[in-house]
Amino acid sequence: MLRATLLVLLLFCSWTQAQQDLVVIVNKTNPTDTLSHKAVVDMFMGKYLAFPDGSMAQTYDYQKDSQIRSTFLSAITGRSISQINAYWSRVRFSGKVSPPQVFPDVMTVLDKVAHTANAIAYVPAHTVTAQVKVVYTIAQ
Amino acid sequence: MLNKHSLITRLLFIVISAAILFALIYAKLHYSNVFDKEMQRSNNTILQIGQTVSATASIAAYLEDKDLANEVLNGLVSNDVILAAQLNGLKSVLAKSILYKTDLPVSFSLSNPFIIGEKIGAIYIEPNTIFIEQNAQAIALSSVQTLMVVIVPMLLIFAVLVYLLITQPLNNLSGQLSVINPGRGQRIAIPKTHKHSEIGTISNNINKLLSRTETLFMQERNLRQEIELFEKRFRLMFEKSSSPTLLVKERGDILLINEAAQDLLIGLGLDLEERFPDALGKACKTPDILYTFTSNSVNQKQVMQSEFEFCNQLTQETVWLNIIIINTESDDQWYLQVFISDITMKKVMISQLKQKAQYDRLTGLNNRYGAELILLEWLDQQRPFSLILLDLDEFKPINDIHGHNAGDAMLQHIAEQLKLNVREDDLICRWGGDEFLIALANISNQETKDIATNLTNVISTPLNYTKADQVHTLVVSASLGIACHPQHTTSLKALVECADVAMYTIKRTSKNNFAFYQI
Repeated sequence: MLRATLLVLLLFCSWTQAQQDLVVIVNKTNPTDTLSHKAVVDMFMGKYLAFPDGSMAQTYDYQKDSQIRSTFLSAITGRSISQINAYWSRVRFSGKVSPPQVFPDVMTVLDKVAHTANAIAYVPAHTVTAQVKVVYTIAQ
Repeated sequence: MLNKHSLITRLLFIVISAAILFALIYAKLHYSNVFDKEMQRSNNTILQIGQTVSATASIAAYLEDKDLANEVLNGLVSNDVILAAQLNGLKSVLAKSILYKTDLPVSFSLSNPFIIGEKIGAIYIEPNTIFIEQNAQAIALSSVQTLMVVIVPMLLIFAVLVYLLITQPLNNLSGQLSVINPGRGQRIAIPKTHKHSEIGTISNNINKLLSRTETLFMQERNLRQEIELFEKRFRLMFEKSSSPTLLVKERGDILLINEAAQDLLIGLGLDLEERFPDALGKACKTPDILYTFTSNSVNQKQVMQSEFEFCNQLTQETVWLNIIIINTESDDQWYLQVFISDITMKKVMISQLKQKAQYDRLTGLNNRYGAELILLEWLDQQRPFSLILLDLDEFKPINDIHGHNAGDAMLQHIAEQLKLNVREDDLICRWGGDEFLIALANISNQETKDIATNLTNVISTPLNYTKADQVHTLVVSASLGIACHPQHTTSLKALVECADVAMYTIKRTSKNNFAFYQI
């Protein structure tokens, strides 16, 4: 009984940990040190594909059905993932704005960001390496 | 039936006008009501459309995507209720329709799809008022049409009913009235269905009026007949009267003249066309008196009567007319009633009677009465004259011996001799049996003496009288007494007495002589 309770508590703790851990990262050579919430939203929703200093940005994202994508996008826009998907469907139809490039997992993304100077993506906080720089942390 | 002023035409005109007016007012009110509702509905529709497109519009505004904005806008203006629209981003116009004008009435603000509460643009929409108006008009018109569909048949039914219930019975009544002649007992026939309606009441009243009128007609007719009868009688009395009568206006116009008067005036050869008394004046021997007589009557308003001598213009005979004028007033107008009667016969008779009364039949001389009348007149005139009383001597033996015829012949002979031996103006009178009276006016004593001498001579001249083929010589003489007026006396009786006294002095003495009265 106690063990079962502890297990549930543990699982809960680990989930919340995962929630808190999402951060927006860029290449460590990127001059940008921090991004505002609005800038993060605009960059990931396709409005601006540039950093505040004017340099072009390359946005990376995950598969459509991935948990991290849902968590991240819902967290920054306050919209459900289905609303966001509908948005992208509509925007893609008009053809002006392209959605971010998609990668299958966090490691690939980290690697991609580490090797691309103008890249921007999001990863769980505990996976952050020295090759990347955290510019935005999702505040809970 | 349907003339411009007939009741049904007027009624229909008024009712149709009222219906049209009513329909117009209804249409107007209904239209504005429908328009408001339609406007409201359109605004709601626009709001709903706005809601529908707001998500896409927000994205377009967020991404400042003009294509997407145009797509949204095209979707908006494809709605009937939307005339024009514009989609604005935060800084610029993303899309606008052709008919877009500034300050569009309906607007929606667009918010950032990802950052709640951040305004990133707006949609402006102009409702299609013309479409809404047309819509409202169509609805209002349709309502009026529906209304008309109800009203027009009702009007038709109303018209037919009015015609059947009012116009036709009235026409029927009028038709009957037009052939009715009061006084023939005709009456209005009342239709069964209108016995108790207003038409029935009018018909009844007309029938009552006809009855009353007929009664009055009868009374009037009877009265008229009576008056005509009276008039006829009066006319008969006037026209057929044997007394000539004229009715003359005060100024002399002859208004009425009856047959007798016409006959009389025509018989006198007078013109009937002339006025009174001028018509008579021509034939009157004393026209001035006739005119004065008439004007006096007119002025004094009195009944006047007088006799006038006329000369018949055709036969030149003397005619005497008695004229009576009566002034009568009628309706403030004065009339003269002139009654004329022919009194010629009466005048002739009177003169014949006068002749008989005043003259001696045997000798043709004045008799005693006639002489007295003349002498009294002379005395009245204070005319001086000598009076000779002449008495025959030895006359009685002629009557006794030869008979009365011989006496009469002797008297006639003496009368002739007297006439031959006095002046023309002197008066000779058979005073009594064998007495004669001679009056010599304005004469001297000497002349009287001469005449008296002469008379004694001629009387004493013998007269041959033939009786049974035997000639007899008759001899008389006369005794004369003379009295003079005014020397001897002034009364007739006294003069005769004086002459008598003088005569007797001769009679008693010499006879066949004369003597003056001696005072």
